[in-house]
Amino acid sequence: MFFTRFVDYEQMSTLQRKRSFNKSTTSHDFRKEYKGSFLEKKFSGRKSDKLRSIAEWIYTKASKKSAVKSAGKNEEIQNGTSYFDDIPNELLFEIFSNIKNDKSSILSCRRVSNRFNCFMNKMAELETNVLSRLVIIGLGPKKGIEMRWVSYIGQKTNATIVSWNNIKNGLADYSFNFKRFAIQRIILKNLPMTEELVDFIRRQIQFADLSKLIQLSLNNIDFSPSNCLTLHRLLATCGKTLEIFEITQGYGMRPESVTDEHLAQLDTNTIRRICIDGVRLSGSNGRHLKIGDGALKRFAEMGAFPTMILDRCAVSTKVVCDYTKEWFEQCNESEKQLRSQVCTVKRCPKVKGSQFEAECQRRGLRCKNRRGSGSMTLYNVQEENTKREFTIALASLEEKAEKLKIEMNMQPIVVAV
Amino acid sequence: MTDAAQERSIKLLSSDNETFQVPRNVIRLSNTINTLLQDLGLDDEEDAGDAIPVQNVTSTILKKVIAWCQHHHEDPVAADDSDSREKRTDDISSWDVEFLKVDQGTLFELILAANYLDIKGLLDVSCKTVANMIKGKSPEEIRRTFNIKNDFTPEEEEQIRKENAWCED
Repeated sequence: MFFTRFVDYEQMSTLQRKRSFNKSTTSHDFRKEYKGSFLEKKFSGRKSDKLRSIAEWIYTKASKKSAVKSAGKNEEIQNGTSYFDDIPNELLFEIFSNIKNDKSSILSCRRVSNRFNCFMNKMAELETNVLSRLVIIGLGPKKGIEMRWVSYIGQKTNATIVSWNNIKNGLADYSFNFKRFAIQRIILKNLPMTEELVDFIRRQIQFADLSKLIQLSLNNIDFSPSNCLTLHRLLATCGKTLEIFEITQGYGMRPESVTDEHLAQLDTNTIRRICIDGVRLSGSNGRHLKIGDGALKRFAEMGAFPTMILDRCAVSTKVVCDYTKEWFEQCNESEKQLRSQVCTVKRCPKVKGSQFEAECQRRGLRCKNRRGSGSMTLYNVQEENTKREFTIALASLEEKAEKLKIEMNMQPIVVAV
Repeated sequence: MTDAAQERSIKLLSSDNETFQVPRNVIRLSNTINTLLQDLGLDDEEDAGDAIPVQNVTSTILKKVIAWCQHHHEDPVAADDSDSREKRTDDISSWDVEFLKVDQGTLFELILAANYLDIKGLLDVSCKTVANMIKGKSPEEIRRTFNIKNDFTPEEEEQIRKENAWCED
């Protein structure tokens, strides 16, 4: 690119210019300014590089021609040229189509040269590897990440380590591997949620078959380098088919790290479990995640009742009660919905035990309380005039020294018909 | 096509101006020549006429190509095999194996000639022979065999090595 501009520049000086500009501009010679400037220093190296590469190109062209002439008569192969250089791509395709199923040949050919590698990346037909899990674990700020695939069926596993540097500069390209993956679960552990990492993961998994992806778990993830779009972009590639979505022991979180909008990226038809637990918010960034009534209302409307654990969220007593009530109504409609249903609401400042009891009563749901484990209180909620019972575990208010840490657990569990 | 037409011979002219006489039913294996003769209506002419120039093929190679066609022109027409079928490379006939025991330059020129003349059988068998030369070799052995330059940067090479390692069960 620079070289061509350079040539134009040289030609320009020999051309007769039209006097369409005023004198003061035309008399300004940029070449003088360029001489000795930092730009010249910056690009002088590149220019010679380009020239050298062109010289090399001409040289190889010339030597190739002489090699072609001597071919057939002369057994000796000229240095730096191969007969493969004269084989057009469509014929190389013919040759390689004989070995596109042979794993060891494919792997060998990939390491021969760029051209061979390109062909093999496109042509190789290897068996799909069904990954029961793809586990990506952070190995600390110096080392990088470990990617491990685990296949339950074949009882096989294999790991590779990617340096942070290669993740950042985009050199780490595992498309050859990912093209042959059908991934069922993705587990991210001990990682910082950075743009670069999410980009890297998105870039790789786009090649894999994600139609059977049922689980995405984020465990012990540092959310401090992320904004609301980071998780959004991750879910955009893999959220549609999930049955299980977990964020546990996340730290450095901000209210917008996980929101109603993120849960809306999940498909209500497939999702069975949502777990946001062990939330650790960073310092002064508010007391709860922006997961509020929106998500619960949406699930209730769609008649989807995944098992939920919501920690430090913005849900309110009223909507939790509505959700419980909706669940009862779904129960009436179909017997098969009578599976054990758990919705745990923890440390959510807008949900209070006494209010919950009052709300239940207002909706014609009787509730009795009894003591559960720890600070938890269990409530049995019954619909009036029916035998159906709905057991709820609800932690009584646990006030600590600081007012900010109002902790509160509530856990409705359906027990029996 | 009449029997007379089958038996008449066609003249081919190599790139280095050597003329070859080939029976019509031998050269029909070359789709390029066959189509040319049919489309130009040359089959009906009594006279052998002018030699057909085969610009891209030298006399050495053209001689080999004609020899191959001579040996194979009575083969039954192979069923149209689809590309989806897994290809075998161990089904080369012993005559072909002997025929293709040539130096690399000739082998590759045969591939180019078979492609130009559109002789499917010869193209298949010569491509398979090259594939067999690749099979079972390490990257370094392949490079040495074909004098291929390793044009990877150390980083690229390392990345491919890692990907390959991650493929293994």
